[in-house]
Parts: sequence; C-alpha cells; structure tokens
Amino acid sequence: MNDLLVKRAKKGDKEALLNLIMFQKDQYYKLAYVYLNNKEDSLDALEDMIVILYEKIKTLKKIEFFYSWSKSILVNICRKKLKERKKIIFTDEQLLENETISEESIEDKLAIEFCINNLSLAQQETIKLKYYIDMDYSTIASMLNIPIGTVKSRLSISLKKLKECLEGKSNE
Amino acid sequence: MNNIEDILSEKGKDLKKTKAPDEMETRLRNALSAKKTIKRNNNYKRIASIAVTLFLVFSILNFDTLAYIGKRFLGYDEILRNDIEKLNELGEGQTIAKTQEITNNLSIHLDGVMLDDTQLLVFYRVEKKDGKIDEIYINPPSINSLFDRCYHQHSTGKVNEDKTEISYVASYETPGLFSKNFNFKGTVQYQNKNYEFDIEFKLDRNKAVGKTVKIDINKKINIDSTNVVIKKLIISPTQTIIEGNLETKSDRNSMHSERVQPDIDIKLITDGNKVINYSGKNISSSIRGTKFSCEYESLPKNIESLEMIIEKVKVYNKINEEVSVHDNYNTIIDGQYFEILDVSTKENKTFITVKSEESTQFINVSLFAENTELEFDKTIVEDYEKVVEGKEVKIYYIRTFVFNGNGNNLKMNIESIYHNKNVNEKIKLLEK
Repeated sequence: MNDLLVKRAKKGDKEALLNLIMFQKDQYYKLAYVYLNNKEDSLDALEDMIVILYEKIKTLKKIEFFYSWSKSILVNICRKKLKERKKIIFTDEQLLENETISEESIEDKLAIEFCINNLSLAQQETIKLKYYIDMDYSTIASMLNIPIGTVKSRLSISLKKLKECLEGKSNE
Repeated sequence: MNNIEDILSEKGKDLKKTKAPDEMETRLRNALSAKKTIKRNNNYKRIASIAVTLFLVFSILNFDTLAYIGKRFLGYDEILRNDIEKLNELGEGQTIAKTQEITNNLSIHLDGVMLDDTQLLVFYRVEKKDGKIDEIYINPPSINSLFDRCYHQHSTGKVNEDKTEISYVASYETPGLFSKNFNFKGTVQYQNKNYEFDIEFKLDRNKAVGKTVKIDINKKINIDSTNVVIKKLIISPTQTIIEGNLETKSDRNSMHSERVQPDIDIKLITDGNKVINYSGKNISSSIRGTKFSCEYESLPKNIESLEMIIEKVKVYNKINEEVSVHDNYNTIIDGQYFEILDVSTKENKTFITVKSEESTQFINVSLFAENTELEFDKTIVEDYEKVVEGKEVKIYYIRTFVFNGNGNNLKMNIESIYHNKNVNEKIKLLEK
C-alpha cells in the first residue's frame, strides 16, 4: 500500500484517495457486490463510501489500516442499503437481472440462494465473505469488527443451517 | 459439510471472475468532485500553538509596561538606543546604585541592570573628578556569580562634556536561572597603573523586563550553493533576534585557507514599510556549520505584521574562469566586477594587482606563463576604494597576488569565488 498516498489523502487530496481505491478496485467492487448483488447498487455504495472516506480519513490513526478501515465502511454502507431494500418490493424483472445465468442448473442455484437468504444477515455476510471472495478469518473479523472465534462459530452454524436447508429442499 | 463448502465455492466462482466495471472510476471521481474540497492541515497542535504564540506576541507588544515603575537611570540618554531609552524612561530595570571609590577622584558607579531572556544590560559610569577621564582606560568588566559567568557582548560609552565621566551601557549574556549574587569586577588603567574594582550586587528577577517570546520559523531558502535556514525569531523587550544557519556547499579546506566567513544581511520590517533598526550580528562557524544571529531593536507596540527581507547572502560558486593578464583589463566574473590594475615583475616574482568589489574573495587562483604554472606565493592587501555611484556607495578592494617566477603570455585561472549576492527574498514572520 502506498503510505504516501494515504498521507496525501489525509491532507485532503481527492486524487490520492481515488487512486488508493482504484488500486484495489476489483476487491472493493466484489465486496459491495457480494452484499448487494447488483452492479448499480454496488456502484452507489462505492460512491457513498468514497465520500465518507474523504470526510472521515482525518480520523484514521494508523495509515497501514486504510484498506481494512475503508472496507469496513463499505460493509456498513452495504448493510444499510440491504435494510432499506427490505422495505422495497422488487419486480420480477429486477430479480432476474440480479441473477447470473451459468451452466449450473437454475434449480440448484436457486436452492442455495434460497437457503442463504434464510440465514440471518450476519450469517449471510460471513458465508459470502468467506466463500464468495475468499477472505480469511482474520480479515473477516477485522472487517465486521468481531472476534475471530465469533467468525468461526458463525460460519460453522451457518454451514450447518445451510446443510439442513439444502437437505430439506432435496427431500421436497 | 465439505460438500456444502464446495457448493458455496462453486457458487462464488462467478463472483470471483467479476471485475469492477469501467465506469467505476468515473463515478467515484464524480462523487468526490461533487464534494466540497476540505483544506486540511493535520498539524492542528502546531496551528494552535502558533495562534497562542501570536496572541502572546501581540498581547506583549500591546501591553502597557506597568509591571514595574522604578527609578530611571540618569545620564545614559545619549548612548541609549531609542527602544532601551523608552524602557529606561518607564523606569524598567533594577536599580543597583552602588559606588566604589578607587582613588580620591576616581570612582565606579554601578547604577542598574536591565534583564530579559536575551541579555543583561548593565548601566555603569567611571568618574574622574579632575576632568582627566580621557586618560582612563577600562576593559569591559566581568560579571560572575559563584557558578556562572555572563560573557560580555558589546558596549556603548560616551564621555561627558567636562570630561569628568564616561557612561557605559554594556550587554552581557543572560545569567543562568539559579544565579542571584554577582560580582561586577574589572580593572581601570590610569597613568600605567591598574586599579581593580569589585562591586557586589543581587539580581532581582522580579524586576526583569517583560516577557520574551521565541517562535520557530524553520524556513529553508536555497541561494546558489548556499542554504539559508531561518530557525527562530526571538522577541524580547530589549531586542529582536533572528537566528539561523548558513549551509554552504563549499570545499572546507579552501574555506579555511582563505578565511572565508559566510555572511547574511537581513532587514526587519513591520507593517509593510517600517524598518526596525539593526543593532548587530553574530556569525560563528564551526565543524558543525555556520550559525548566525541578527539583532535588531525591540519591536514597537501595536504592530500589525512583521516580515524579514534577506537582502544579501555570501555565496560560493565554482567558476574555473580563465582571465588573460594584462594591465587595465576589466571583466565581470560571476556577476562581480574584476579589474587588473597592474602587472609587474621583480626579483623573479610576478605581481598582479586586482580590484574587485569588497565582498569578493577568490579561491585557488593560479597563474600560467606559456602553459607553465607559476607557484602562488601570497596576497598583499593594498587599499580600499570608495566610489559613489548615484545614491549607492560602493567599496572596492585592491589586492596584489604574488607568484614565484615570471614569463610571457600570462593567464590566470580562478577556481572559485565568494561574493555577496543580492537576494531580496521576503519572508512573512507574523501577521495579525
């Protein structure tokens, strides 16, 4: 990470802040996408994030924590957006747009998706961060601001619930 | 369980392939552009401390000196600088009023002292009642305590009209905090006889004059090969001081062999155009570099701003200039006037008399006759020439370079040059 860029960003340099984000643009985008599951909302969340980062970067005490700090801000924005989304009823078209069609059978895919959606928000995000974007336990812990033990137990419970759900689905 | 993990990883494969869309950069840039730019200086503590200091400076400068009204020291008006005279008129300082009779008609009077954090001013008089004060010789007296010694810095003295008395105002270094009892000691010479005197006095720090403020400036300016670092501004009731360093990237050997002293001229200005009178300058060079301290009168009250102008700096430049040697030849070398006034030979030596501006110094000068180098012998100082050019007075320095041997087709090579360069760089120090 370019410490100099963080220092410049702390002094109010917008371009330095933008460069910092663009260095890890895919990671930021995937993180937003894992929560929000569509391009527009993810970009909205990223826009909100960069504005908040610009306003709050002066409070960042250790420059080496820039990326974990900024990603946890993004996570919070995504969570907030998810809560707002619950109040909105999607049309079928919107739901379809959010789905990625692959070789995998749509039925299987929908079954997993259904089961994941049945988990609590906290369990969902832990599962997605771990398996969708390959984050390790400590990164997830720092991002969600919870102990590593909690991450592990949350994952274990989530996997158990998923298994039960999928088994139930296949019996239907 | 592993199976589920595999299913999840498989499900995440699509996402892993996902790339940030191209428009992400534009959207983030636009989001940031819409945000009002915040000008940030992280050094809030520094700003706060500067604000406090400025408040203190302006408060002190605007504060009517009422803290101590004492007796003024009489008979010093003519030798006092305006600022010190004002302090004296206000009765600032500590009255000592002690006299020591040395002989029947010779006595020393220690009238008082004026102390602040930058200097100890001592007001004393030597009295010779028979009107023969001109025959008296006195070295600056010493001021010592048991563990401390205040070094003499400078003095100003004046003999009265009937030649019965000489009054001095002498500046000494400020004594250490814990010294209280001092001896004002010295020797007076009269008709080849030495007369010693020793006056004890107790320093009352409660009667010290006002407060002194030190402000870090830490500004670096590069002028040719010289870096000027302005470190501190010291504002005391009795004087204003600018301290800094001069870093010259010259060859140390050549500097020492030619005894080149780095130099700087700084003007101090308040409220845009009022010049603060210059009172002195200390420049000291050591292995650690060159330090300077420019002293001025104390600042007037109610000033709005303070700025300094670096007028001149002595710069060092490596030039390797070749000069053909013949009478009445003049040229400009590194912006400096250079003239060969005379070339002569005597007793197998070559004498080249040159005229240059006063501050110019030449380092490693060599002379070649038909491409054979003649050994440099010495420099003879000849004269100084004062020339009035319009409103400006210029002083030229005439010296003779002496080389062993002689020959035809003389060519002189000047390796490097030291000279005062006009800079006129303005630096804001304080602004209300």
